[in-house]
Amino acid sequence: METNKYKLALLFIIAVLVSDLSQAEQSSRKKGYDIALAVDNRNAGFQDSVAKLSMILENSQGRKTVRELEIKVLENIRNGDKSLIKFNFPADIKGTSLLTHPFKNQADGQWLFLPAVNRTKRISSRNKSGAFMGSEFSFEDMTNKNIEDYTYNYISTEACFDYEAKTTAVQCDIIERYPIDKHSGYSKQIMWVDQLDKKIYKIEYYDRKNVLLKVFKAHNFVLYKNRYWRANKVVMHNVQTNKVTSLEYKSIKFTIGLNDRDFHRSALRD
Amino acid sequence: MFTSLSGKNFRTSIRYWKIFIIYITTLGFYTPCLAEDILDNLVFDLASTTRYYINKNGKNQVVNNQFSYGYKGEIKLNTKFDFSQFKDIKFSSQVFYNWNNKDEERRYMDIRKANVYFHKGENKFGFGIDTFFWGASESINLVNVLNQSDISESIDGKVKLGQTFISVSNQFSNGEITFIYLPKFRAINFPQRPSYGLPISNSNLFENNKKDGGYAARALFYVEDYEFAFSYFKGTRRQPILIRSSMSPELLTPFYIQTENLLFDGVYLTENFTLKTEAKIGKELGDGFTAASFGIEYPSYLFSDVIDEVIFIGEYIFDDRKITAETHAQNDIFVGTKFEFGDASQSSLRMLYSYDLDYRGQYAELSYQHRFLDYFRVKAKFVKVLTASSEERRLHALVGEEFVKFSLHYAF
Repeated sequence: METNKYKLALLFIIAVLVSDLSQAEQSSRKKGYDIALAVDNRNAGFQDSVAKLSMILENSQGRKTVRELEIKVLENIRNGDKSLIKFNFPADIKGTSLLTHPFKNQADGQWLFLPAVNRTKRISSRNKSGAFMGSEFSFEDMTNKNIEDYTYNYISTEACFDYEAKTTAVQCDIIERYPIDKHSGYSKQIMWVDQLDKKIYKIEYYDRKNVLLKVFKAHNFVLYKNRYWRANKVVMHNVQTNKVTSLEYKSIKFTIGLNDRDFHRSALRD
Repeated sequence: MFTSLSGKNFRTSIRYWKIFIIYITTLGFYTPCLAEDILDNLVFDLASTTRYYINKNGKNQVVNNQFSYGYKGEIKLNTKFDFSQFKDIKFSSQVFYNWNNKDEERRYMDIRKANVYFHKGENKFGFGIDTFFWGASESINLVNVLNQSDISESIDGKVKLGQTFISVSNQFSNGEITFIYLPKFRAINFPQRPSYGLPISNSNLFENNKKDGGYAARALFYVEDYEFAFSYFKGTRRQPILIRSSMSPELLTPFYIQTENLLFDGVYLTENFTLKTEAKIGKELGDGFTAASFGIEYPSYLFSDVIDEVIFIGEYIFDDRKITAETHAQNDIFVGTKFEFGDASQSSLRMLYSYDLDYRGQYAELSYQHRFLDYFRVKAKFVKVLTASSEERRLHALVGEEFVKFSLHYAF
């Protein structure tokens, strides 16, 4: 009789623990999602933007090569922001363009136009993890992802390193996100999000074997139109190969009147 | 000596070139800010070239340009103008010049592009000179019929010469419909090598004395994982039939016939592979014909640490016109691979092998490209016909004409 009592008590404790853990997990997911949603909302309403930037590729021996490019983005609340990236340097790849149409609940559309052969190549979902023009950014990294493309988890809150001020003055929420797309090159990403302005300071990308692959860091944030924070420099460091790609922004303009026609597939050749 | 067209074309091209210079200078003089924009968007690509034929003499035994060198230059300009009344006017130009120390037919200039496109609502209007690409296949693009091929630059017809045109397009969310009028026809310049067994005549023959550029229409659709287009073309066929005419029986004379084509090309992208097809039916010399290609591309990422993407290609082409077909493929299988190295140099390697199921002709091609500095890159190509019987006339013409070519490019 005594034994049965103990068994019942043990079962009760286990049930409570499991229920608590499940509730904690749900709570962590919700908090992670809420932080991601806040980042998304903080950036909403910009309509469109055009940025000119340099892409600096550095190999493991420190040799650098430079590319110049322009990125146009059109806000698209319904299906995810469309983007068109066009290279201006080196001269032999001038006109090379990448058009991205993100979609909710289906694979994103990506097309690469190669002027040397006058052909448009569609990027298959299996090649999303491939290097974008030899950089440490993959085709997947060049997509403005939807919030629904991941599931989230809140991890913790800690002082976050401000790369511009070189201090740890900012409080950041740390969340992890798991891609839903089975063709993603990543098993998970861990993000450091500034609590106040929702700036993303750092992202760690883990490969499919769950080993740290790349670290993204954002520097020199500038506030545009009194609302939109943009990092003037972002750095992607591949910790497995020790190659680095930096994007240094020269200018960003907002609300210049871009429309869907500027992101039509025929715009790749324009 | 083999054709007289080159000199005439050269002079005509020079005239076009002068008009082009005057046009640019005038724009720059009246609008300094436009001139600055033009300078920012000018691209020069200069190259020194060498070509080496494995065999000493051409098949016609007349020429010996086993080793030759030369220069190649290309100027490109793509710029947009926004005037107060007209927005988004795009001007593109591309002028190509080639010089070879041994082959006169490889000394020529071509305006590949000199066009203006502008939008009015959902419609896009264009005129000038342009090169168009239609098709999906890797080996031979049966539906890429609008531009004349540049045989001096490529024997597979992939490199195209500029074509005068007027067009209007209507863009909709999932595609585009375009109507094109092509006012002028231009004949091909045949280089001395690869030779076609006999020297090519200076004069050209035209069916019913017609030499019109023709007109075309194309409806292109993007529907989820499908991309496909229906096209129509009527005009003088760009690729001639080489005949022995009574006027010059010792030479092959290019005979340009009239053609009417209904064309289809499509791509279906699955998660694991890509299916491609091109097809055309039409009428030539009073008879109907059918040609089609089917292909599959399978990408592999097994070696993704070193090679970004390896693509395996398999294609089948048939053309029931046999020897009057536009290409050497009338019942042929192509297999090949493409390697994209995915490094900062964006190196790529392409290998292609074709086998003719009717005549057992075999053809192989290897090409490589690598950029070793921001401004410099190298290109190399090797082409060899392994076997080809005399029945297989187009491929047989290339037997003994295998060559290696190499170019060092400086682009700024």
